[in-house]
Amino acid sequence: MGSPIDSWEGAAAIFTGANSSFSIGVCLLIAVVLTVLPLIDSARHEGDVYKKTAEE
Amino acid sequence: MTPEEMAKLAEKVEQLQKSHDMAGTINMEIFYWWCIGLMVAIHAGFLAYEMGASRMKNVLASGVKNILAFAFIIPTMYFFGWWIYGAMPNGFIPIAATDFLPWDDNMGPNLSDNATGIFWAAFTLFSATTASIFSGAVLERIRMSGFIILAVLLGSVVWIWAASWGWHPEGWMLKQLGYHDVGAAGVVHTIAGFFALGVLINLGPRVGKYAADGTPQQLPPHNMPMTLVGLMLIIVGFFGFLGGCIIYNNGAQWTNIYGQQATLSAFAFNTLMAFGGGIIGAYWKTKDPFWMMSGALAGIFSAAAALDVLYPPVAFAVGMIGGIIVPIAGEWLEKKGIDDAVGAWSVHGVAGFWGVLVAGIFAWGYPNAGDAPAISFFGQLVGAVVCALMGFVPGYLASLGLKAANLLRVPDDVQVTGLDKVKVPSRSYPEFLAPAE
Repeated sequence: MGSPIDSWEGAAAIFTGANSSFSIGVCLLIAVVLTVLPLIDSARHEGDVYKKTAEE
Repeated sequence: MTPEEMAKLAEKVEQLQKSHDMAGTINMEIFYWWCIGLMVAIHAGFLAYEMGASRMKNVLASGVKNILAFAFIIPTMYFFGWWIYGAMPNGFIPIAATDFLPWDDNMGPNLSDNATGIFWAAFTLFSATTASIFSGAVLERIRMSGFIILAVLLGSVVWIWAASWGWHPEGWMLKQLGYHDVGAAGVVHTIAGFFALGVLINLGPRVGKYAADGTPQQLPPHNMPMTLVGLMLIIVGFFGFLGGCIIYNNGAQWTNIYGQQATLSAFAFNTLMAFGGGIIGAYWKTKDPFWMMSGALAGIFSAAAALDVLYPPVAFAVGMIGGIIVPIAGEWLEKKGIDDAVGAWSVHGVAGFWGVLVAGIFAWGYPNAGDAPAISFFGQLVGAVVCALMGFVPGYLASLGLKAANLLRVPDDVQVTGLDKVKVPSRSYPEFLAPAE
Protein backbone atom coordinates (compact mmCIF):
# COMPACT_ATOMS: atom_id res chain seq x y z
CA MET A 1 0.00 0.00 0.00
CA GLY A 2 1.09 3.59 -0.53
CA SER A 3 2.81 5.10 -3.54
CA PRO A 4 3.17 2.77 -6.53
CA ILE A 5 5.72 5.07 -8.21
CA ASP A 6 9.29 6.22 -7.51
CA SER A 7 9.20 9.09 -10.02
CA TRP A 8 6.59 11.11 -11.94
CA GLU A 9 8.57 10.62 -15.14
CA GLY A 10 6.54 8.31 -17.39
CA ALA A 11 4.12 7.46 -14.59
CA ALA A 12 0.70 6.09 -15.60
CA ALA A 13 -1.48 4.41 -12.93
CA ILE A 14 -0.75 6.36 -9.76
CA PHE A 15 -3.54 5.34 -7.42
CA THR A 16 -2.84 3.85 -4.02
CA GLY A 17 -1.52 0.33 -4.36
CA ALA A 18 -1.70 0.36 -8.18
CA ASN A 19 1.36 -1.90 -8.40
CA SER A 20 -0.16 -4.63 -6.21
CA SER A 21 -3.05 -6.81 -7.32
CA PHE A 22 -3.34 -8.09 -3.74
CA SER A 23 -3.78 -4.55 -2.42
CA ILE A 24 -6.34 -3.71 -5.12
CA GLY A 25 -8.26 -6.92 -4.42
CA VAL A 26 -8.40 -6.31 -0.66
CA CYS A 27 -9.51 -2.68 -1.06
CA LEU A 28 -12.17 -3.64 -3.57
CA LEU A 29 -13.47 -6.42 -1.35
CA ILE A 30 -13.65 -4.07 1.65
CA ALA A 31 -15.57 -1.52 -0.42
CA VAL A 32 -18.06 -4.20 -1.54
CA VAL A 33 -18.59 -5.30 2.08
CA LEU A 34 -19.04 -1.68 3.15
CA THR A 35 -21.74 -1.31 0.51
CA VAL A 36 -23.64 -4.44 1.51
CA LEU A 37 -23.50 -4.04 5.32
CA PRO A 38 -25.62 -0.85 5.50
CA LEU A 39 -28.18 -2.49 3.24
CA ILE A 40 -28.48 -5.42 5.64
CA ASP A 41 -28.68 -2.97 8.53
CA SER A 42 -31.46 -1.08 6.74
CA ALA A 43 -33.54 -4.25 6.43
CA ARG A 44 -32.95 -5.06 10.12
CA HIS A 45 -33.78 -1.51 11.24
CA GLU A 46 -37.02 -1.49 9.27
CA GLY A 47 -38.04 -4.86 10.61
CA ASP A 48 -37.46 -3.65 14.19
CA VAL A 49 -39.32 -0.35 13.89
CA TYR A 50 -42.27 -1.89 12.05
CA LYS A 51 -42.58 -4.55 14.72
CA LYS A 52 -42.42 -1.91 17.44
CA THR A 53 -45.11 0.15 15.69
CA ALA A 54 -47.38 -2.88 15.40
CA GLU A 55 -46.97 -3.59 19.12
CA GLU A 56 -47.83 -0.03 20.19
CA MET B 1 16.08 27.12 -45.27
CA THR B 2 19.08 25.26 -43.89
CA PRO B 3 18.75 21.69 -42.58
CA GLU B 4 19.33 23.04 -39.07
CA GLU B 5 16.46 25.50 -39.42
CA MET B 6 14.27 22.73 -40.86
CA ALA B 7 15.01 20.54 -37.85
CA LYS B 8 14.14 23.35 -35.44
CA LEU B 9 10.92 24.05 -37.31
CA ALA B 10 9.98 20.37 -37.23
CA GLU B 11 10.65 20.29 -33.49
CA LYS B 12 8.50 23.40 -33.02
CA VAL B 13 5.65 21.87 -35.06
CA GLU B 14 5.86 18.71 -32.99
CA GLN B 15 5.68 20.74 -29.77
CA LEU B 16 2.69 22.68 -31.09
CA GLN B 17 0.96 19.45 -32.07
CA LYS B 18 1.49 18.01 -28.58
CA SER B 19 0.27 21.22 -27.02
CA HIS B 20 -2.82 21.23 -29.25
CA ASP B 21 -3.57 17.58 -28.44
CA MET B 22 -3.25 18.14 -24.70
CA ALA B 23 -5.41 21.30 -24.88
CA GLY B 24 -8.06 19.22 -26.66
CA THR B 25 -7.83 16.44 -24.11
CA ILE B 26 -8.23 18.88 -21.25
CA ASN B 27 -11.11 20.65 -23.02
CA MET B 28 -12.81 17.27 -23.30
CA GLU B 29 -12.36 16.60 -19.59
CA ILE B 30 -13.64 20.06 -18.70
CA PHE B 31 -16.71 19.71 -20.92
CA TYR B 32 -17.80 16.42 -19.36
CA TRP B 33 -16.81 17.56 -15.85
CA TRP B 34 -19.38 20.35 -16.06
CA CYS B 35 -21.95 18.09 -17.69
CA ILE B 36 -21.59 15.82 -14.65
CA GLY B 37 -21.95 18.78 -12.30
CA LEU B 38 -25.10 19.89 -14.09
CA MET B 39 -26.48 16.36 -13.93
CA VAL B 40 -26.30 16.52 -10.14
CA ALA B 41 -28.98 19.19 -10.50
CA ILE B 42 -31.26 16.43 -11.84
CA HIS B 43 -30.97 14.78 -8.44
CA ALA B 44 -31.48 18.00 -6.53
CA GLY B 45 -34.62 18.37 -8.64
CA PHE B 46 -35.84 14.82 -8.07
CA LEU B 47 -35.21 15.28 -4.35
CA ALA B 48 -37.34 18.43 -4.19
CA TYR B 49 -39.93 16.92 -6.52
CA GLU B 50 -40.28 13.74 -4.55
CA MET B 51 -40.34 15.37 -1.12
CA GLY B 52 -42.84 17.97 -2.32
CA ALA B 53 -45.07 15.26 -3.76
CA SER B 54 -45.10 13.37 -0.45
CA ARG B 55 -47.50 14.06 2.35
CA MET B 56 -46.02 15.85 5.35
CA LYS B 57 -45.83 12.67 7.40
CA ASN B 58 -43.55 10.99 4.82
CA VAL B 59 -41.48 13.85 3.48
CA LEU B 60 -38.14 12.95 5.07
CA ALA B 61 -38.47 9.24 4.39
CA SER B 62 -38.99 10.12 0.72
CA GLY B 63 -35.89 12.29 0.84
CA VAL B 64 -33.78 9.59 2.47
CA LYS B 65 -34.91 7.08 -0.14
CA ASN B 66 -34.07 9.40 -3.01
CA ILE B 67 -30.63 10.28 -1.65
CA LEU B 68 -29.76 6.64 -0.97
CA ALA B 69 -30.66 5.64 -4.53
CA PHE B 70 -28.04 8.08 -5.81
CA ALA B 71 -25.49 6.96 -3.23
CA PHE B 72 -25.80 3.20 -3.85
CA ILE B 73 -25.67 3.60 -7.61
CA ILE B 74 -22.18 5.12 -7.43
CA PRO B 75 -20.22 2.18 -5.93
CA THR B 76 -22.28 -0.45 -7.75
CA MET B 77 -21.64 1.23 -11.10
CA TYR B 78 -17.95 1.04 -10.20
CA PHE B 79 -18.09 -2.60 -9.05
CA PHE B 80 -20.03 -4.06 -11.98
CA GLY B 81 -22.23 -1.59 -13.90
CA TRP B 82 -19.45 -0.12 -16.00
CA TRP B 83 -18.22 -3.58 -16.93
CA ILE B 84 -21.72 -4.57 -18.08
CA TYR B 85 -21.72 -1.62 -20.50
CA GLY B 86 -18.40 -2.68 -22.00
CA ALA B 87 -19.09 -6.40 -22.07
CA MET B 88 -22.66 -6.85 -23.27
CA PRO B 89 -23.12 -5.15 -26.68
CA ASN B 90 -23.84 -8.53 -28.31
CA GLY B 91 -26.77 -9.40 -26.03
CA PHE B 92 -26.35 -11.80 -23.14
CA ILE B 93 -22.91 -13.31 -23.76
CA PRO B 94 -20.11 -11.04 -22.55
CA ILE B 95 -17.18 -10.03 -24.70
CA ALA B 96 -13.73 -9.21 -23.35
CA ALA B 97 -13.88 -5.84 -21.61
CA THR B 98 -10.93 -5.84 -19.27
CA ASP B 99 -10.64 -2.02 -19.46
CA PHE B 100 -14.02 -1.83 -17.72
CA LEU B 101 -13.15 -4.05 -14.75
CA PRO B 102 -12.78 -2.30 -11.39
CA TRP B 103 -9.25 -3.59 -10.89
CA ASP B 104 -7.97 -2.33 -14.24
CA ASP B 105 -5.24 0.35 -14.27
CA ASN B 106 -7.70 2.74 -15.97
CA MET B 107 -10.23 2.54 -13.13
CA GLY B 108 -8.43 5.01 -10.89
CA PRO B 109 -6.05 7.96 -11.12
CA ASN B 110 -3.92 7.36 -14.21
CA LEU B 111 -1.83 10.01 -15.95
CA SER B 112 -2.08 8.26 -19.30
CA ASP B 113 -5.90 8.11 -19.29
CA ASN B 114 -7.95 11.32 -19.15
CA ALA B 115 -11.14 9.68 -20.43
CA THR B 116 -12.20 6.63 -18.41
CA GLY B 117 -12.96 8.41 -15.15
CA ILE B 118 -14.93 11.19 -16.74
CA PHE B 119 -17.00 8.80 -18.90
CA TRP B 120 -17.58 6.42 -15.99
CA ALA B 121 -18.82 9.38 -13.95
CA ALA B 122 -21.13 10.61 -16.72
CA PHE B 123 -22.63 7.12 -17.11
CA THR B 124 -22.97 6.83 -13.35
CA LEU B 125 -25.04 10.02 -13.34
CA PHE B 126 -27.20 8.57 -16.13
CA SER B 127 -27.64 5.48 -13.97
CA ALA B 128 -28.61 7.53 -10.96
CA THR B 129 -31.18 9.31 -13.10
CA THR B 130 -32.91 6.00 -13.87
CA ALA B 131 -33.00 5.18 -10.16
CA SER B 132 -34.46 8.60 -9.31
CA ILE B 133 -37.16 8.20 -11.96
CA PHE B 134 -38.16 4.93 -10.30
CA SER B 135 -37.89 6.38 -6.80
CA GLY B 136 -40.75 8.86 -7.20
CA ALA B 137 -43.23 6.27 -8.47
CA VAL B 138 -43.02 4.11 -5.37
CA LEU B 139 -42.90 6.75 -2.65
CA GLU B 140 -44.68 6.51 0.70
CA ARG B 141 -45.00 2.72 0.85
CA ILE B 142 -41.84 0.88 -0.28
CA ARG B 143 -39.38 -0.60 2.19
CA MET B 144 -35.96 1.01 2.07
CA SER B 145 -33.97 -2.22 1.74
CA GLY B 146 -36.18 -3.53 -1.06
CA PHE B 147 -36.06 -0.17 -2.75
CA ILE B 148 -32.25 -0.03 -2.69
CA ILE B 149 -32.01 -3.50 -4.19
CA LEU B 150 -34.41 -2.51 -6.97
CA ALA B 151 -32.70 0.85 -7.57
CA VAL B 152 -29.32 -0.88 -7.93
CA LEU B 153 -30.86 -3.50 -10.22
CA LEU B 154 -32.29 -0.77 -12.44
CA GLY B 155 -29.41 1.71 -12.30
CA SER B 156 -26.37 -0.55 -12.27
CA VAL B 157 -27.61 -3.59 -14.19
CA VAL B 158 -30.76 -3.21 -16.28
CA TRP B 159 -30.45 0.17 -17.96
CA ILE B 160 -26.70 -0.08 -18.47
CA TRP B 161 -27.16 -3.52 -20.01
CA ALA B 162 -29.71 -2.09 -22.44
CA ALA B 163 -27.40 0.86 -23.07
CA SER B 164 -24.74 -1.58 -24.22
CA TRP B 165 -27.30 -2.83 -26.78
CA GLY B 166 -28.75 0.44 -27.97
CA TRP B 167 -26.43 3.20 -26.85
CA HIS B 168 -23.04 1.81 -27.74
CA PRO B 169 -21.19 2.01 -31.07
CA GLU B 170 -21.02 -1.81 -31.21
CA GLY B 171 -24.46 -2.58 -29.71
CA TRP B 172 -26.58 -5.17 -31.50
CA MET B 173 -29.57 -2.83 -31.70
CA LEU B 174 -27.48 -0.38 -33.71
CA LYS B 175 -25.80 -3.03 -35.83
CA GLN B 176 -28.94 -5.00 -36.65
CA LEU B 177 -31.79 -2.47 -36.38
CA GLY B 178 -30.06 0.85 -37.08
CA TYR B 179 -31.48 1.96 -33.72
CA HIS B 180 -31.16 5.70 -33.10
CA ASP B 181 -31.59 7.17 -29.64
CA VAL B 182 -29.06 9.95 -29.16
CA GLY B 183 -30.69 11.51 -26.09
CA ALA B 184 -31.55 8.17 -24.44
CA ALA B 185 -35.34 8.38 -24.77
CA GLY B 186 -35.55 4.59 -24.86
CA VAL B 187 -32.49 3.36 -23.02
CA VAL B 188 -33.01 5.64 -20.03
CA HIS B 189 -36.61 6.84 -19.91
CA THR B 190 -38.59 3.96 -21.40
CA ILE B 191 -36.62 1.44 -19.39
CA ALA B 192 -36.93 3.33 -16.10
CA GLY B 193 -40.64 4.03 -16.62
CA PHE B 194 -41.51 0.43 -17.47
CA PHE B 195 -39.31 -0.89 -14.66
CA ALA B 196 -41.33 1.29 -12.29
CA LEU B 197 -44.56 -0.11 -13.75
CA GLY B 198 -43.40 -3.68 -13.15
CA VAL B 199 -42.65 -2.87 -9.52
CA LEU B 200 -45.88 -0.91 -8.97
CA ILE B 201 -47.98 -3.93 -9.93
CA ASN B 202 -46.47 -5.94 -7.08
CA LEU B 203 -46.11 -3.07 -4.63
CA GLY B 204 -49.74 -2.00 -4.62
CA PRO B 205 -51.18 1.46 -3.96
CA ARG B 206 -50.65 3.67 -0.92
CA VAL B 207 -53.14 3.16 1.89
CA GLY B 208 -56.09 5.45 1.14
CA LYS B 209 -55.37 5.87 -2.56
CA TYR B 210 -58.47 3.91 -3.60
CA ALA B 211 -61.92 3.83 -2.03
CA ALA B 212 -63.54 0.50 -1.26
CA ASP B 213 -65.26 0.55 -4.66
CA GLY B 214 -61.92 1.15 -6.39
CA THR B 215 -62.44 4.86 -7.11
CA PRO B 216 -59.10 6.74 -7.10
CA GLN B 217 -58.73 9.28 -4.29
CA GLN B 218 -56.58 12.41 -4.27
CA LEU B 219 -53.55 12.25 -1.95
CA PRO B 220 -52.40 15.84 -2.45
CA PRO B 221 -48.68 16.72 -2.31
CA HIS B 222 -47.76 18.54 0.89
CA ASN B 223 -45.82 21.16 -1.11
CA MET B 224 -46.77 21.58 -4.75
CA PRO B 225 -44.55 24.67 -5.24
CA MET B 226 -41.50 22.64 -4.17
CA THR B 227 -42.51 19.94 -6.64
CA LEU B 228 -42.70 22.49 -9.46
CA VAL B 229 -39.31 23.98 -8.63
CA GLY B 230 -37.91 20.45 -8.46
CA LEU B 231 -39.21 19.70 -11.92
CA MET B 232 -37.62 22.86 -13.29
CA LEU B 233 -34.34 21.89 -11.64
CA ILE B 234 -34.52 18.48 -13.31
CA ILE B 235 -34.77 20.29 -16.64
CA VAL B 236 -31.71 22.40 -15.80
CA GLY B 237 -29.88 19.17 -15.12
CA PHE B 238 -31.01 17.67 -18.39
CA PHE B 239 -28.87 20.17 -20.25
CA GLY B 240 -25.92 18.44 -18.61
CA PHE B 241 -27.43 15.03 -19.34
CA LEU B 242 -27.87 15.84 -23.03
CA GLY B 243 -24.40 17.40 -23.19
CA GLY B 244 -23.10 14.09 -21.88
CA CYS B 245 -24.81 12.35 -24.81
CA ILE B 246 -22.51 13.89 -27.44
CA ILE B 247 -18.90 12.94 -28.08
CA TYR B 248 -16.16 15.55 -28.02
CA ASN B 249 -13.58 14.85 -30.74
CA ASN B 250 -10.37 16.79 -30.49
CA GLY B 251 -9.89 18.87 -33.64
CA ALA B 252 -12.97 17.48 -35.39
CA GLN B 253 -16.76 17.80 -35.43
CA TRP B 254 -18.79 16.44 -32.50
CA THR B 255 -20.32 13.01 -33.04
CA ASN B 256 -23.27 11.35 -31.39
CA ILE B 257 -22.92 8.12 -29.44
CA TYR B 258 -23.21 6.18 -32.72
CA GLY B 259 -20.36 8.03 -34.45
CA GLN B 260 -22.59 10.16 -36.71
CA GLN B 261 -21.64 13.82 -37.00
CA ALA B 262 -23.71 16.09 -34.78
CA THR B 263 -23.66 19.53 -33.14
CA LEU B 264 -24.54 20.87 -29.73
CA SER B 265 -26.33 23.59 -31.65
CA ALA B 266 -28.81 20.98 -32.93
CA PHE B 267 -29.35 19.80 -29.34
CA ALA B 268 -29.98 23.40 -28.24
CA PHE B 269 -32.56 24.07 -30.97
CA ASN B 270 -34.53 20.91 -30.40
CA THR B 271 -34.31 20.61 -26.61
CA LEU B 272 -35.78 24.07 -26.14
CA MET B 273 -38.43 23.73 -28.84
CA ALA B 274 -39.59 20.38 -27.45
CA PHE B 275 -39.53 21.77 -23.91
CA GLY B 276 -41.83 24.62 -24.92
CA GLY B 277 -44.11 22.29 -26.87
CA GLY B 278 -44.41 19.90 -23.93
CA ILE B 279 -45.46 22.63 -21.52
CA ILE B 280 -47.99 24.14 -23.91
CA GLY B 281 -49.42 20.72 -24.78
CA ALA B 282 -49.90 19.80 -21.13
CA TYR B 283 -51.40 23.19 -20.34
CA TRP B 284 -53.82 22.80 -23.25
CA LYS B 285 -54.89 19.40 -21.98
CA THR B 286 -54.97 19.95 -18.19
CA LYS B 287 -54.39 23.59 -17.10
CA ASP B 288 -52.54 21.94 -14.19
CA PRO B 289 -49.03 23.20 -13.28
CA PHE B 290 -47.95 19.73 -12.13
CA TRP B 291 -48.67 18.29 -15.56
CA MET B 292 -47.26 21.37 -17.28
CA MET B 293 -43.85 20.79 -15.74
CA SER B 294 -44.14 17.05 -16.29
CA GLY B 295 -45.09 17.96 -19.85
CA ALA B 296 -41.86 19.92 -20.17
CA LEU B 297 -39.93 16.75 -19.39
CA ALA B 298 -42.17 14.69 -21.65
CA GLY B 299 -41.58 17.20 -24.45
CA ILE B 300 -37.82 16.82 -24.17
CA PHE B 301 -38.05 13.01 -24.08
CA SER B 302 -40.36 13.09 -27.11
CA ALA B 303 -37.60 14.70 -29.19
CA ALA B 304 -34.63 13.11 -27.39
CA ALA B 305 -34.00 10.12 -29.67
CA ALA B 306 -33.60 12.31 -32.78
CA LEU B 307 -32.35 15.46 -31.13
CA ASP B 308 -29.46 15.64 -33.58
CA VAL B 309 -31.50 15.85 -36.78
CA LEU B 310 -35.08 17.03 -36.14
CA TYR B 311 -36.27 20.25 -37.72
CA PRO B 312 -37.02 22.42 -34.65
CA PRO B 313 -40.73 22.99 -35.45
CA VAL B 314 -41.07 19.19 -35.61
CA ALA B 315 -39.43 18.97 -32.18
CA PHE B 316 -41.98 21.50 -30.95
CA ALA B 317 -44.90 19.50 -32.37
CA VAL B 318 -43.77 16.10 -31.10
CA GLY B 319 -43.03 17.69 -27.73
CA MET B 320 -46.54 19.08 -27.65
CA ILE B 321 -47.97 15.64 -28.44
CA GLY B 322 -45.84 14.26 -25.59
CA GLY B 323 -47.23 16.91 -23.26
CA ILE B 324 -50.79 15.94 -24.23
CA ILE B 325 -50.49 12.14 -24.07
CA VAL B 326 -48.66 11.98 -20.74
CA PRO B 327 -51.56 13.14 -18.51
CA ILE B 328 -53.93 10.90 -20.49
CA ALA B 329 -51.65 7.91 -19.87
CA GLY B 330 -51.30 8.85 -16.19
CA GLU B 331 -55.04 9.06 -15.69
CA TRP B 332 -55.58 5.76 -17.51
CA LEU B 333 -53.06 4.01 -15.25
CA GLU B 334 -54.66 5.45 -12.12
CA LYS B 335 -58.05 4.13 -13.20
CA LYS B 336 -56.50 0.68 -13.66
CA GLY B 337 -55.72 0.63 -9.93
CA ILE B 338 -51.98 1.33 -10.22
CA ASP B 339 -50.77 4.11 -7.96
CA ASP B 340 -47.87 5.83 -9.72
CA ALA B 341 -47.39 8.68 -7.23
CA VAL B 342 -45.55 11.04 -9.61
CA GLY B 343 -46.56 9.79 -13.04
CA ALA B 344 -43.15 8.20 -13.69
CA TRP B 345 -44.51 5.57 -16.06
CA SER B 346 -46.41 8.07 -18.16
CA VAL B 347 -43.76 10.83 -18.17
CA HIS B 348 -40.73 8.61 -18.71
CA GLY B 349 -42.08 5.29 -19.98
CA VAL B 350 -44.73 6.53 -22.39
CA ALA B 351 -43.02 9.75 -23.53
CA GLY B 352 -39.72 7.87 -23.92
CA PHE B 353 -41.46 5.19 -26.03
CA TRP B 354 -43.07 7.92 -28.13
CA GLY B 355 -39.68 9.63 -28.51
CA VAL B 356 -38.09 6.46 -29.92
CA LEU B 357 -40.94 6.18 -32.43
CA VAL B 358 -40.52 9.85 -33.35
CA ALA B 359 -37.01 9.03 -34.55
CA GLY B 360 -38.51 6.28 -36.74
CA ILE B 361 -41.03 8.70 -38.26
CA PHE B 362 -38.92 11.83 -38.71
CA ALA B 363 -35.37 10.49 -38.90
CA TRP B 364 -36.26 7.63 -41.23
CA GLY B 365 -33.59 6.97 -43.86
CA TYR B 366 -30.67 8.78 -42.22
CA PRO B 367 -27.55 6.68 -42.80
CA ASN B 368 -25.69 5.23 -39.87
CA ALA B 369 -21.92 5.22 -39.54
CA GLY B 370 -20.09 2.08 -40.64
CA ASP B 371 -22.04 -1.00 -41.66
CA ALA B 372 -25.15 -0.42 -39.48
CA PRO B 373 -28.44 -0.16 -41.41
CA ALA B 374 -30.10 3.22 -41.90
CA ILE B 375 -32.62 4.48 -39.34
CA SER B 376 -36.08 2.99 -39.94
CA PHE B 377 -39.50 2.99 -38.29
CA PHE B 378 -39.34 -0.78 -37.91
CA GLY B 379 -35.96 -0.60 -36.18
CA GLN B 380 -37.23 2.07 -33.82
CA LEU B 381 -40.44 0.19 -33.04
CA VAL B 382 -38.56 -3.00 -32.22
CA GLY B 383 -36.04 -0.98 -30.21
CA ALA B 384 -38.79 0.72 -28.20
CA VAL B 385 -40.44 -2.64 -27.43
CA VAL B 386 -37.07 -4.10 -26.39
CA CYS B 387 -36.50 -1.15 -24.04
CA ALA B 388 -39.99 -1.49 -22.53
CA LEU B 389 -39.53 -5.22 -21.94
CA MET B 390 -35.98 -4.76 -20.67
CA GLY B 391 -37.44 -2.46 -18.02
CA PHE B 392 -40.71 -4.16 -17.20
CA VAL B 393 -39.64 -7.82 -16.92
CA PRO B 394 -36.76 -7.38 -14.42
CA GLY B 395 -38.80 -4.86 -12.42
CA TYR B 396 -41.78 -7.18 -12.19
CA LEU B 397 -39.81 -10.35 -11.39
CA ALA B 398 -37.44 -8.78 -8.86
CA SER B 399 -40.26 -7.04 -7.00
CA LEU B 400 -42.24 -10.28 -6.99
CA GLY B 401 -39.30 -11.97 -5.28
CA LEU B 402 -38.94 -9.14 -2.76
CA LYS B 403 -42.66 -9.27 -2.05
CA ALA B 404 -42.38 -12.98 -1.29
CA ALA B 405 -39.50 -12.20 1.08
CA ASN B 406 -41.53 -9.45 2.77
CA LEU B 407 -38.98 -6.83 1.73
CA LEU B 408 -41.19 -4.80 -0.57
CA ARG B 409 -44.09 -3.05 1.11
CA VAL B 410 -44.30 -0.98 4.26
CA PRO B 411 -47.03 -2.38 6.54
CA ASP B 412 -50.34 -0.53 6.32
CA ASP B 413 -50.32 0.56 9.97
CA VAL B 414 -46.93 2.22 9.46
CA GLN B 415 -48.23 3.98 6.36
CA VAL B 416 -51.14 5.33 8.39
CA THR B 417 -48.85 6.54 11.17
CA GLY B 418 -46.37 8.04 8.72
CA LEU B 419 -42.91 6.83 7.76
CA ASP B 420 -41.05 9.79 9.25
CA LYS B 421 -42.37 9.23 12.75
CA VAL B 422 -41.60 5.53 12.62
CA LYS B 423 -38.13 5.43 11.15
CA VAL B 424 -36.54 8.86 10.65
CA PRO B 425 -34.78 10.36 13.68
CA SER B 426 -35.26 14.02 12.65
CA ARG B 427 -38.42 16.03 11.96
CA SER B 428 -39.24 17.85 8.74
CA TYR B 429 -40.84 21.04 10.07
CA PRO B 430 -40.81 22.72 13.49
CA GLU B 431 -44.59 22.73 13.49
CA PHE B 432 -44.73 19.07 12.58
CA LEU B 433 -47.74 17.57 14.32
CA ALA B 434 -47.86 14.09 12.80
CA PRO B 435 -51.03 14.70 10.82
CA ALA B 436 -53.29 11.70 10.41
CA GLU B 437 -53.63 11.97 6.62
